[in-house]
Amino acid sequence: MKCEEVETKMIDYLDNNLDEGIRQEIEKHLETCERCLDELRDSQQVLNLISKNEMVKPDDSLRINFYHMLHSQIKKSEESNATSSRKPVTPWYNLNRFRIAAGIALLICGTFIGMLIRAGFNNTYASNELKQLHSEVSDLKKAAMFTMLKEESSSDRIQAVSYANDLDNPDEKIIEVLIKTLNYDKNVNVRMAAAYALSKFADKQAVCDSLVKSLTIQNDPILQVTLINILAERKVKSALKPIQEIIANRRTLKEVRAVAENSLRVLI
Amino acid sequence: MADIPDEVIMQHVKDGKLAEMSVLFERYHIRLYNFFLKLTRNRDISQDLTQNLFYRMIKYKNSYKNELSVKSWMYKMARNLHVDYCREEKRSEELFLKTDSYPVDLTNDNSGFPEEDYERLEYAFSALSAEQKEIIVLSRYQGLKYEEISLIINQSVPAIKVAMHRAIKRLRGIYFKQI
Amino acid sequence: MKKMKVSLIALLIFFTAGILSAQEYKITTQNNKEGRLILKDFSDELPIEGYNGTDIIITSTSEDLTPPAKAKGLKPVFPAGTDNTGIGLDVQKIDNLITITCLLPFTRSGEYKIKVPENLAIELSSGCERNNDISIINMKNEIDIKSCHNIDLKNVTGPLVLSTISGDINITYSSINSSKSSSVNSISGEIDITLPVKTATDLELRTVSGAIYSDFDFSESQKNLKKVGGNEMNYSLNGGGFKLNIGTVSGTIYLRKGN
Repeated sequence: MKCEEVETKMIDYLDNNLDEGIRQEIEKHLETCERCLDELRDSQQVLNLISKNEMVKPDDSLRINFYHMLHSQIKKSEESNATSSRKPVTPWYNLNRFRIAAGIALLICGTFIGMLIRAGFNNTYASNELKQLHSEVSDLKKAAMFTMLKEESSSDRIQAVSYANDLDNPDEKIIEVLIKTLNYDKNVNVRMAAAYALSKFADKQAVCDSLVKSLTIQNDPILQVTLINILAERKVKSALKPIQEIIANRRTLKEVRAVAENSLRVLI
Repeated sequence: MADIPDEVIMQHVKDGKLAEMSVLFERYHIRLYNFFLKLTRNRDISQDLTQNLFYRMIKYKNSYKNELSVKSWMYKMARNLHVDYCREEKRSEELFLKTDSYPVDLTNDNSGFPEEDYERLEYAFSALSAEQKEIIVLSRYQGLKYEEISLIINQSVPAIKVAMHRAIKRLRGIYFKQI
Repeated sequence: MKKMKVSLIALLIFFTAGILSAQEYKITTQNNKEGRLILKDFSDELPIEGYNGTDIIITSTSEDLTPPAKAKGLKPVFPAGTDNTGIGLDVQKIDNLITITCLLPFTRSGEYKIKVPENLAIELSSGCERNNDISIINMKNEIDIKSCHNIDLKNVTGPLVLSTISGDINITYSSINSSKSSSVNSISGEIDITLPVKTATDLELRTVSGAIYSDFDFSESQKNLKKVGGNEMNYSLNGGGFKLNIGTVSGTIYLRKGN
């Protein structure tokens, strides 16, 4: 066998892709040809190096954007089935990746899984992958919650808080972020959304305490009403004192005072 | 779900069950993303291209005919997308030659190769022609068989083997020249 | 005859002068969804109109703010900051974030009208001491308002994040940007919302002592919760989707079908 022939078969040789006969011919040639042996070693080293390459994981935004796109495509196809001409769906690729990523789409991931389940997807296929997807989405939701709470837009922040509603068992970090949002977000609607999200977990003593504490520092009437209602509903006795203080405060809005007085009937 | 062949899922998508595209996405998006990443060396662009690929799969779902496997069909589209991207952006080879640092985390502590080896490999890889890169990515990084590649790039298996041999020869040449 | 001509001209000049006294200030921006306009501390009525253009155009019809001749070379100084527009406003622009602060003290009337590129998001807040009734029409992005007084929105898509204390809230949606949550809250004012009839929404209605009226059909999928502090109702309309949260303490909620 000649050098050129060996050279063209080198990769197959290294991949163990050759018939025994040709293999032996090549090996025979290599015994005597140092140049080919060197080339073989070089190739092997390079190919080994390549084979050690590990796939890079894309950002979560890829998945999020995909589900968003898929959702809008499904919607679009449903619409075009219903009526032939409708205004076109905003193309996903015009949206700013970073904002949209954490945003909108996550909600859709959740809805989407719901859709799959409703569509009997769960029965048709083994549900393991779906379960995994579900837990990934819930991780994504957590991640999105943290990023989205930094958003400029109040609507985005409300959305972020609402993800917490979908978590069955939020960890401490999430609770902490919600409490922070309840007490310090600049928008009252966002703070209110955080209050309702926290109310879901009010069976935890720490959450309950923080709601009571929050009542002492909130001075926005909407939030005062929200918190009084949440606490009265759960008959949280420790809320009594801050509620009485609100009633006693001359600056309290009369609507708030009415709600507060009403709550006393439950708490006392 | 793992047992359902891609082709059956694709047929469902064609029948209007678009939601099932998510299965194909979960199966292939990381690979395809890495396919683009090797060729473009840019994470954002690779994300966009991957996203665009799945968008096209839905949009042109009816162009999928059973003569190809879904996998080959996807790679074929991926390839076209990359070609379009290069054409549009006019940033094929010149750009790669200019960028000699590759910011992606290539290192793997257990691989037994020092980091410089990977950097040198990336540099050598970037010096290849677009066709050579493509063939190495498909065959070595993505692990496709020559038969599959043949369907994707419309060339005979022997022709691919020859191209592959030339590509590796050039790659190792540049790689070892750096030492 | 000559006399009449002269007086006609005089009249013309008079009118022109009258028109000119409405001063205009333009801020060039981009009409895209990334843009955000923040309005602070406006008093009196503030009509905001969305349009398909790239300039934010503020028209001031308030008393003439032209400084006297003696102030030549000097800038008007207000307790709240320095006027960099000549019409009593402070404008700051950082990338696509534009902040306009009204510098006039709340005791002084300042009448402004603002035309805004329709795709910008608007964020508006004003303290209770300012009798600031807000009306916004033809906007296609987020509107975020904190106020004590009336809020009137027409032909908007949302998302909307609104809160007021005693003012009424009136909203007529043109269509709905269904991808984000909306939240509308008032203490004692009425909330009157007209939704497109086909809106797919998850509604959350909360009221302590107010009544709710609607011509939507809530018979399906309704989950009513009688609570200690009033009622909470969750409905899905047309299969559900975009989240709309409406709450009052004592105000009435009207929910109407639009087109």
